[in-house]
Amino acid sequence: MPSIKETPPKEMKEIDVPFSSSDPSHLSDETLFEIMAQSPFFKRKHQEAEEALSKVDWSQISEKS
Amino acid sequence: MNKESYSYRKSGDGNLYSFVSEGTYGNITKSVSIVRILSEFTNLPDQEIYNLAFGDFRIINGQWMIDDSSRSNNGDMPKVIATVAKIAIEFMHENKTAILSFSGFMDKKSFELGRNQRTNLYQRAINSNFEELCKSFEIMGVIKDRIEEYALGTGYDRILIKCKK
Repeated sequence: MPSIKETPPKEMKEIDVPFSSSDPSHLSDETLFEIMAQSPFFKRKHQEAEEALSKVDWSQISEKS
Repeated sequence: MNKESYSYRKSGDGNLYSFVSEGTYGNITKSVSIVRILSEFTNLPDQEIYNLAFGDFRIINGQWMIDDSSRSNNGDMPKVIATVAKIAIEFMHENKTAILSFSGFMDKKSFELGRNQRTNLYQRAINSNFEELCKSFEIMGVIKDRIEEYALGTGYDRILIKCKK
């Protein structure tokens, strides 16, 4: 009786993109941008910019426009 | 600026961007936020002024955070800066009457040297593309709270750019 040659099952190839704990590539755009929008860091940076820009003498710009 | 840059993801409102720096220490996600500064801070009700902030996206204490407190030294700074510049230029083309403001972060080294090293980086990028940028943009520098026309060789606290009319 001819033996049925068993072929080993194909190895499951997982598409396993390695990402470090700080790699957000698996996050959807929605989640990524939500985290960014809520970021205290960006809030602080923009607040610092507001404070710095409030001290600037804008007369040069207002004269031009 | 035709320097090599990374492709980036952009939020629907066009104010948030993200890209991945691929360098010596692997992939580091960078994020850019551009927010309108309220006119009460500038006393220029008819002028839209935006601020650009930039940081690394990482997990700190189990939470996603953005910060710029460490130098990633990923070996691709020119490409990272070129990407931020590309984002800024795209934003300016979409907001032609706006002024975009940006400055670097005063890290430990900056305090030691008494100069903002990150603003230095931005200025180096501007300086090396100055002629080309001047064709489309008006570039100004803020020094000691005064705005002046950008001059090569001068170190500024903050940079302002605006599309030429």
